[in-house]
Amino acid sequence: MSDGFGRRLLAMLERQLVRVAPPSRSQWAEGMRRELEEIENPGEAFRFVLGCLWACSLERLRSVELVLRLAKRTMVAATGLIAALGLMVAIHMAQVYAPSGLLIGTISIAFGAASLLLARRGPNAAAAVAVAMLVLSAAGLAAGLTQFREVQHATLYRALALEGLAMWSLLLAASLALSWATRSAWLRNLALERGWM
Amino acid sequence: MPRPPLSSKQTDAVLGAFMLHPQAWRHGYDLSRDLGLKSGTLYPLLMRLSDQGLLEAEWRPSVRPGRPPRHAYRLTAAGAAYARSRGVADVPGNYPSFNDEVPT
Repeated sequence: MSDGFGRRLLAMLERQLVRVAPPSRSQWAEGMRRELEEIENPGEAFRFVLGCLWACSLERLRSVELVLRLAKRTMVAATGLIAALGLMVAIHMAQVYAPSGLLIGTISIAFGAASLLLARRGPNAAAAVAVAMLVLSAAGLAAGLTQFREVQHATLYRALALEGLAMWSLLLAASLALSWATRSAWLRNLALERGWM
Repeated sequence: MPRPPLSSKQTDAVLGAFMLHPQAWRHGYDLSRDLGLKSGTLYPLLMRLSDQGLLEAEWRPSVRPGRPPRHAYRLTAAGAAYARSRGVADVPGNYPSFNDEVPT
């Protein structure tokens, strides 16, 4: 490797330091860059900058955790809001036709449970509720299409079952994604704390 | 949720290095070289210590004339107390000595 190429490579890596680091770590990245100016041995500088890039990349990934926490809180709030709105609808519906009110109320309670479980026990617990409700929605839809065509509010029930399939699928997908991302972040932190990387 | 304080051999080595001259400002490269720690291991540790209020960081003028300021680090009072609580301050001989800046 020629000196010119080595210097250009080092300069390129040096620039990447500040780009890779999250904004909250820009001072640290700049500090690393300044340290490079103190290293006279090119091989040592190269090893140092690679390590710094690794450190900045970890910090960039760590900032993902903040996004994950925000995503979880948003999911908790959204499912909680659906539960609250559903309960309001259920109360009004119960005055018109009690079975429909009961059904919507039950679905709302399931959303409330998912919200609470997500907040307290994490995304896996919410995913379990979503799976259970998906099965119930699918069963309800199948039953509505074949057996209960003449039941009062049958159209409403079919719509609720379809809506349930969509919403619980969404919640299941989001919970699984959140669970996977959280576990990845946790493993990385564990490795960092134990000095495995 | 606050993270638990760090506990690893590397952390103890870093704390021990700072405790040799608790008032002295240290630089990343010097710490890395003297402790034999890769920068990819050292800097995450320093950042975590800083996040937990155990380490303070500031820009300090370089001792070499004409050079730009360098990012320097030293333990806070809480950091020194934490180091003592881990026993690292009692065994300075376990850590390499520094020929860096004298305490300011």
